[in-house]
Amino acid sequence: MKIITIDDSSTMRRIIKNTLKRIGYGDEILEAENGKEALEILENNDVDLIITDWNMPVMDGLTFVKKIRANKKFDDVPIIMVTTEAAKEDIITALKAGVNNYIVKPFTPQVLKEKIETVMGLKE
Amino acid sequence: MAPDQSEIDALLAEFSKKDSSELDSIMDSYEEKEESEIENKAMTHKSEGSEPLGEGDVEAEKLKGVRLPPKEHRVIDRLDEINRESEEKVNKLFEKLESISAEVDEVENLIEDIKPYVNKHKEFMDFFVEHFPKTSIKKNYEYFKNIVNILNEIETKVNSIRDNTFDAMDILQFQDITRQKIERVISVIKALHDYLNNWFASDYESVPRARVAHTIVEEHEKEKVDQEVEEIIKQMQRGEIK
Repeated sequence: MKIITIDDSSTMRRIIKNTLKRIGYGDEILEAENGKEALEILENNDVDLIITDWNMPVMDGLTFVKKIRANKKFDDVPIIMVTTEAAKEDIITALKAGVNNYIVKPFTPQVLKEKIETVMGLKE
Repeated sequence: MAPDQSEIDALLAEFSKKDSSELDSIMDSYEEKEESEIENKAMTHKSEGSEPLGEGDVEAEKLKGVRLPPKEHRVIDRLDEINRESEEKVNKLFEKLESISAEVDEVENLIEDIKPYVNKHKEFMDFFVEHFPKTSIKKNYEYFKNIVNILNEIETKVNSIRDNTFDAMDILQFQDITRQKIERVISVIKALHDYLNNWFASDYESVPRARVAHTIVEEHEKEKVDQEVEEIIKQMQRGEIK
């Protein structure tokens, strides 16, 4: 499975990458520091799953999700948002923008695994 | 303005000669001299058209009664530096944990390599002990069983080291959460900056910043929040939230 992880924190990208490997999804992982960089990477790469942060400089996660959902090439790629934002209105905003699932930081490998299985249709 | 070394030496020489009342008058005249120098400099600066002060004009700012902090004390820049440094150090720590994890994998592979030989040897000894119970091999068999037990214990410890290493990696998420908490503090200082712009002067405007986190979950609330997230997702899926 080819996954792109988008986070302005290099530590978080590293943690997500490492966690993905541990839970068996480490085949191919692309990285971007913000939404703009991710859009550039996605111009030349197809991915099976997008894992994005919300609060990032240059282009935040919400804007990125809206842009991705407006693009026919990526409108059905599952997106998981991993963020510190835990307010109900923020979660609803993200889901309405096109996010398939939502994780509040800090997360455990088990939670990430379950959410991936859910959005990939591997779990009821 | 601070006296130079020759002035200090001259003062010390005078101090050693005078009594205390004379010393007071020396101090008064020194302070008067310093104040008049400051006033002259301030007047000169004003008459020169008062261009915006550059970094080198901190002294002139002081003369106008404004005391700018030295650049190394600027709050936002320092907080940014703390964020950068902690991210850098946490990444190094993560590298070390990854090395430990890789080494643990190597140890586990070595154990896996040994196991077939140990098992084969055990089968061989089981056979001998069963068919020749009275030979001295039985004593060796007991030693060998201890070795097998120790090997199993090493395997358990290796797994425990791996689990602890992974737990430590997960805990490092704190760095990102702490960073965002500091970003919130920066946003408060940014607001204060509008009122106290000289004191909090910084280059922060030129640095692209992430939106500041509204909510950062405390550890004791995490489980409840995770349940709420699940519930909101389900409500969305059921069409209960429009």
